[in-house]
Amino acid sequence: MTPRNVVVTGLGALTTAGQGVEALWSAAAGGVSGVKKVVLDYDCANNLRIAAQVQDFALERFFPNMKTAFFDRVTLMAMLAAEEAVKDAGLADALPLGARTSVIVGTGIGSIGTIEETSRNMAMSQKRPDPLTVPRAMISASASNVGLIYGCTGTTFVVSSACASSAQALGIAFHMVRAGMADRAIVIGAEASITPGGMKAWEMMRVLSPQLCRPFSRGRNGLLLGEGSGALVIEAEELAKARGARIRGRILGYGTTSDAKDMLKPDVAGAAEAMALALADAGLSSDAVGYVNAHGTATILNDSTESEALGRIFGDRLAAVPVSSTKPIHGHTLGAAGAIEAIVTIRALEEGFVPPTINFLEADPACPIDCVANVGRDHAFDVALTNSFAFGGINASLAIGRAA
Amino acid sequence: MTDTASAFGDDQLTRDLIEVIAKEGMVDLNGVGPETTLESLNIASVDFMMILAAIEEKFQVYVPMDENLSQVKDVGGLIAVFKEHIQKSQQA
Repeated sequence: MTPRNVVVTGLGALTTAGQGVEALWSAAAGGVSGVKKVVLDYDCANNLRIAAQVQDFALERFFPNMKTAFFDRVTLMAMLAAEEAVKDAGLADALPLGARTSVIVGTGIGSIGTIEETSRNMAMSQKRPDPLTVPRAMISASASNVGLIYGCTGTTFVVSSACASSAQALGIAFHMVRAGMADRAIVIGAEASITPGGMKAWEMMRVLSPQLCRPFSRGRNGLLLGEGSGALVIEAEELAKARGARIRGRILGYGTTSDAKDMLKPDVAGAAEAMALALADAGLSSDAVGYVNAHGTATILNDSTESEALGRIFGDRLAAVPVSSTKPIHGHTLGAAGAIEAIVTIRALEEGFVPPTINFLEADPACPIDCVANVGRDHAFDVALTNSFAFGGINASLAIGRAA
Repeated sequence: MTDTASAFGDDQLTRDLIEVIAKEGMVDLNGVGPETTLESLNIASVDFMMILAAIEEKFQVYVPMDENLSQVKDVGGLIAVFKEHIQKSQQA
């Protein structure tokens, strides 16, 4: 089979900015941070208590006709983003979606809330554990439940590679549709790790900022966690056109590498190679790229390493390519980051507007890029790269194109 | 341990710090001097986290992963950063 073109026909999101893609986009475009003081169910000696938390704690209400009692929060988040994306794709009345539709979810840790709660119940209060702990906690619960709702009987699985999870999910789904292994995929990134234990574990890693997330800026001192979900419906272009679907963007290329060097320290070569592979996969040179949605966590090492990797890709053009990190706005949503940032990138392509890197103080010589400091900018472009680099050394980059 | 300590200085704080680095980094510091690089001792990022957590526990001081710390290349530099944080917290 000749490789097919792969288009994006539906988008959905739930983030700290609220429910829906438009809440996310208007926060990203306007540079409005959703970082807040977190609400935690119990105390885990947490010293740091700010994050881009989704403070809508009753997501069950969106599914009044379902038995939601055994859904972890991460599953509810995945379901909510999927609902918006399927509706946006014009597929809500075309159920079941059948054997040619895949569900592929990326999540870093999945049902950490359930795991923590069950462990506490068993160890501390001698309560009977929830009999449905297994189907609630298993990392594939979100994918299975979304498939069940939309009758997707095609290849379904979860990709877990820490902060590269949903970038890899989108990449592999793209390759499957392009190769004809599936006609369509609902791709989701979901993470619900703002729990007492989740916050404490990240505090112990010493990568959290106690104040503000300032990617690529002098004075940056770490990331701020976020949570939420993003969903994209992707499909073969000829099938999308045949059913008269609105095309919102194109997945053009995917590259992924593993540093195989150090669990925590990022590597310039691995990051650069992921971007080079994404461009080669798309059949494009770096000259075609008009915007990069960076991984940009605001840790000292990530941002200088990513800047150096960008330099290897863009060479003399480095200072002329707008690069922004939207993480201070929606937080670092870990496994959901790839999907959420791909959605921001598609909205940026649609609007011809580059979202800003907020909280920027002054340039760091170690990050010699145009990071669109503090204020977004009108800028029409055809192709963007979006990067996701993970602890463990797994890197993923996607080349995304404008609809037409 | 005596040889190693004297290469860095003989005070108690230095001895304590060397002990923590050797134990948590799982390295033999015998014969190691201030200019020995962390890389040559095979101290990776995960060992670093264990060392920082142990310093925090033993000296009740929080050592952030800031610019100073991320630029440290050798054992002497690491000890200097720890000392600065510990002395600052003792004065506070």
